[in-house]
Amino acid sequence: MDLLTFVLWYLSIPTVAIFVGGMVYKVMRYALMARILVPKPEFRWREIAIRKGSFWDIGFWHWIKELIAVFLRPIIWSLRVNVLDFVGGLLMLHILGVILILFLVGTHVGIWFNYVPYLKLGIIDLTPLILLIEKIWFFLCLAVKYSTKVVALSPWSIIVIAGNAYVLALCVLAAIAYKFVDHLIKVKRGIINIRPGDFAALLLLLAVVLTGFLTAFSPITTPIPVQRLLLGLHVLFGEIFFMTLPFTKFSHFLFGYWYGKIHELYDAYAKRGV
Amino acid sequence: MMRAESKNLEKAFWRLSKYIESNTIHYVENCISCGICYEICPAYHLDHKYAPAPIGEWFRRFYRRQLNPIARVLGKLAHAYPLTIENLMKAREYVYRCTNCGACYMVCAAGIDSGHLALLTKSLINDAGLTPQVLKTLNEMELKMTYLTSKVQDLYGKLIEEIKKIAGGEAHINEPDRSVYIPISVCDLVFAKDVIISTIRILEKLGITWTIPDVPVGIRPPMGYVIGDFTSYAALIRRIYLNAKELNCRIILVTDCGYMYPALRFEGPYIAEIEQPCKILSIVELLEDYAERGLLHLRKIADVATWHDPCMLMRRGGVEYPHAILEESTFFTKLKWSGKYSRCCGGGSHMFFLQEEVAKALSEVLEVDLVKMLEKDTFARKIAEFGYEMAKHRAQEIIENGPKIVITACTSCIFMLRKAISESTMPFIEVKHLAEFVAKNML
Ligand code: SF4
Ligand code: SF4
Repeated sequence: MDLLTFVLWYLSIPTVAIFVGGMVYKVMRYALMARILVPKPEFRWREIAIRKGSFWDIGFWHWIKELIAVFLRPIIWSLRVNVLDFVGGLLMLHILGVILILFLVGTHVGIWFNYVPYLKLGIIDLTPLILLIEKIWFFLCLAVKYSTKVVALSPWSIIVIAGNAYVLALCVLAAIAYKFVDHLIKVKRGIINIRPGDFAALLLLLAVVLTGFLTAFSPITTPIPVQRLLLGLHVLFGEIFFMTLPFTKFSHFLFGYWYGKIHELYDAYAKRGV
Repeated sequence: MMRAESKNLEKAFWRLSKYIESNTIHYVENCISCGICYEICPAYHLDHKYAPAPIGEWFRRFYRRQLNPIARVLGKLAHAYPLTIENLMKAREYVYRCTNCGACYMVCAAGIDSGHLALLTKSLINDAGLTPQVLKTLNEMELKMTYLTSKVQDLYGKLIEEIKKIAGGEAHINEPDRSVYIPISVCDLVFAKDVIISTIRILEKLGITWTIPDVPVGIRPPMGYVIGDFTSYAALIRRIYLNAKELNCRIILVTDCGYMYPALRFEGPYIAEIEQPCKILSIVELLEDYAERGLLHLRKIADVATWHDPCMLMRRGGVEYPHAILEESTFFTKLKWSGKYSRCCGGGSHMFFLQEEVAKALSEVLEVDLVKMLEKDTFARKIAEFGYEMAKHRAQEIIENGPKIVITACTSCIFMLRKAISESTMPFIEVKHLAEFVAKNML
């Protein structure tokens, strides 16, 4: 049994179990620690809504506007005061890198479809959404094809996707390097909140991306055992990433970020009317 | 000895755990060290070591040690620090540089309020007896009501006489069933007497009935908010709520911003576990509402005026600048950093009380030697200096806008900005409270 067989057939179930257990533990703690029985202050948004119109006409749109604002504010702020971080941290790492690679690179999409056939979750059918994303992705592929002269046989072929993934993977690698250096500079400056765990998390991400990159772009002549080893390592690091996700800072994209923003909407806007 | 000390400090952590709730866990666990919050923090501008995430980090360190078993085993490698006097002294250097202005919360990528973590750390510092003596004394005096010295009573008597003069011979002390209750404090007496007089003048003119307490309700309540003493914080909230309830008023009107407004209006019920007795309004909201409804008219003055947003009013209180008043009655110019992105005056939270002039003025009326306490406390003086540097920074931003008058609504903002502006290149810029401005220009 080689590494690939082990990680695919023996480690995947424990990985999912640990991940689910971790997430349940995490979310339950938040639910159990909520102080719901204490008296509540008078909420300011009601006042604003009453002054500006009823909840369903103007008040409702205020909520929607504020909901968007809590997500946009840090992005705009980062663009305003730290363009380098905006490009390195948000654009290259999060949007170009992680989101596109994780969810839109052909092989990954294949995996998601494999786990969730047609991405149908119970009564909710996500197929139209996926089709829409595919279309957007299709035009992106075209754009990349003609702008970077990536060799492609047809617009929606694996080669185009691989070509794009190549560019995207380089983006993530550059962004990880940027984050690493940025953290080092902060430590040197005496900023105390950067922990060894932050570097470990970046190294793990680097391991996942690098092995994935090598797997996808190793020459066709690479011996099969080496290819299987590379892919095995990629899946192994991915599984470690997934297993530890509830306990690392990466959980922000599944939980912390969303909880934080919704809490901010409640605390700053609904309660205080900021 | 060390073990016993550590055990006691751990007990303090468990006492505090009542206030550790789901949002606290979020603040502790979900910082991604992105650094987006750094630029907006007034402390970071003075020293790059003190940014919001590092300021919040101390509470995280203690929390990990107490509540995260894996981090506890990994120790410093996972930044889990035991509660020791030495570590709390280090933490003090960070959290006492935070004015709890809330700016970082507005821009944080993950919605983290580092100021709140600083407040929780201050609570641990307080339990370890490391709070600067000046603040500790003021907090104790407020809780035990020993601030009601003969001098304070004398000053309050004089204020009542002045109030009677403008209110047809009546001071309406503790009069039930009036619309508005004004919780006057010692700081109002010493630093903002004219604000109280102006407020009453305006209320009389608008035909709003009002009442005042028979003695000041505190020094600048709740002082517990400043040092993280939640027991005294809750006691003061209860004191004011119960006064208002007994008097059956409709509104508690806060003329000072400080922390009193958000503490009474938004935090009070959580902290004191008691229902709000009535509506709580800032004077800014009340006047703006009257102006918007066309019930308050002001003459137009020929001056360029600007508004400095008090942090506790804007970011922690949701009260925006009174545009109906200012845009109608002045040539209004908005500061570059205003609203959610406004910068702190440097007097936020404890900073105001550590200023030498403030300690001196309070010493005189409270009959304790706060100045001596301050002289002996190098840490407190260092922090006071840090706060004043923030004030200079903010004053410079105001000067760049070129106003003739800065209007705001907070005792510490007024004090800090007046001082910093008077020592700047544009010492003639006036700093005024909105109530004073309105009372003077009301038609
Ligand atoms: S609350 Fe204000 S002073 Fe404190 S860390 Fe945040 S931005 Fe800095
Ligand atoms: S912006 Fe928020 S998540 Fe980012 S470093 Fe600051 S506190 Fe942490």
